[in-house]
Amino acid sequence: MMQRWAVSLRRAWRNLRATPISTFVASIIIAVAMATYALFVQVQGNAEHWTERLSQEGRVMVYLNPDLQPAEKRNFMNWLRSQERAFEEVTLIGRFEAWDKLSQRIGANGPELLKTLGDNPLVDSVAIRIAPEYLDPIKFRPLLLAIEAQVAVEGVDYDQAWIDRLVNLIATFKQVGLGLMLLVLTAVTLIIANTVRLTVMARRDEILIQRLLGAHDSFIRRPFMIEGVLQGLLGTTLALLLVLAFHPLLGGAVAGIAEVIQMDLEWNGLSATQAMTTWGLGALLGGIGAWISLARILSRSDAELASGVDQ
Amino acid sequence: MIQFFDVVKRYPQGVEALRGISLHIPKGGLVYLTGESGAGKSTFLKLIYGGETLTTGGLIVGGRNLDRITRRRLADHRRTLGVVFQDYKLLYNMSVFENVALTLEVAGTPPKQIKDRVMQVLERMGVQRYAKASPITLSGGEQQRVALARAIVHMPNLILADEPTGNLDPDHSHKVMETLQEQQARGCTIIVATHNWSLINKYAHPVVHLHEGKIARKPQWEDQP
Repeated sequence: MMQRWAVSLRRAWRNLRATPISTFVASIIIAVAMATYALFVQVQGNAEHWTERLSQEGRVMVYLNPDLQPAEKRNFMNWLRSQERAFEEVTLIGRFEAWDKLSQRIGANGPELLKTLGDNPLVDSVAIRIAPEYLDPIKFRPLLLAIEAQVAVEGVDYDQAWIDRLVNLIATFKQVGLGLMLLVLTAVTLIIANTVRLTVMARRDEILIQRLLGAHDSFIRRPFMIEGVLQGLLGTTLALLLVLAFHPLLGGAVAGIAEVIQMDLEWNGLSATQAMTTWGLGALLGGIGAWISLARILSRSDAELASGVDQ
Repeated sequence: MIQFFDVVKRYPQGVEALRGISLHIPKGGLVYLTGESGAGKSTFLKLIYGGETLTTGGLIVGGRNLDRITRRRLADHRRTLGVVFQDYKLLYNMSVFENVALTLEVAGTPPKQIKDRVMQVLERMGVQRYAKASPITLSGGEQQRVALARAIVHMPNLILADEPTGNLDPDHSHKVMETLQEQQARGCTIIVATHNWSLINKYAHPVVHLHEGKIARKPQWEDQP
């Protein structure tokens, strides 16, 4: 078994070396296809990261009734914490703590300025971080009404525009992301399969002669599969280098956009895991492309192969 | 070894290449296959190595019914054959050595044995100095000898040679015939399709003559009861 694979590996390597131009062209096409995929992975990864960050910034502030009894306050807090699926984080901010924070935010003159207000006019409040899946308007609105209906609540403050923007962003990625990923993967698979098919078609004489010498399909298929995998690896390596080369350019573009829309966004490159996955995928698609192309060509009769008709 | 039973081969365009061929070729025999161009010689050989399928009739080669054979069994059948194709069918992206070695690689021969055996055969055919060269750099006659080397390297039971001396000078033609006779001497059955009557006259062996897809002349053993 090992000997068969060693022979196939040697033959695959010899074929790749014997046809450097077609190997190079095929690798470049695979590189472009895989770079498109890698870029898409990056865009999706960054979009998820940005959405996550935005959702962490999104808090609803609940101001408590100043006449609230400690037991009522406890009950309200217990109710909030029981809604753990909707509220990712619930933080009680006492009126004195809020006063100190305000004083610090104003700066060096804060304590002096606040003294002019007399007694601390602030009330106890609760900062709530909403779980991203509850930012959908259909789920968010009833949640808000439920909070407002609590007797302990004096008022609720939230940034409607921010919530809407975030909800739209999440919805867009949910709807488009998966479909787009499938589309990109299908396109990449077809491009690689067709590229490998062209190299296979160019060598149909070799396939025919091997067959006439008594080669089984597995003997014919193995070197082509190895070549497909090697071309996939080579193409994906070029793709990853291409993506790496364009990283500063994309980072600069995102920084520019972030400045215009006044959001703190940064462009992250592929993680080591994503790069390895892309590399593995390139190899896999190269192998699958070779398999598909060979399955079609091996199903032909000797006469069809000899006539070279591409059916 | 080979038995044709009323074999008819009709191509899809309607051309009838073989019309009711019945013939027996015994094991270890060397037979010339003659006939004018288009008489059906190449089709006759193609049916034996499974390059074409017969339309009606039956064909048994080495105990295998080629009319009902799976792809895998056909590959196994071809490993027992050595074929010298009229157009050589050498791979120009491989060296002469690799072309000849391919037959042994297909059969799963260990690499060390392949090297020894291939060099031996190339030497026998007088083309060992071209071992590393591509066949495209060789003359027609040299390519023909490489093709014969590939056909005999695995010591097959049956050799089919389609015009194996077509591009050779008389000296090399005789060398080829001597090689084929050596193969016959070890028990190999050989069919040589040829137009070369001087060769047929010099190396006397039974002749099957085809004319318009039919057998016009049979070997003597066929006439015996």
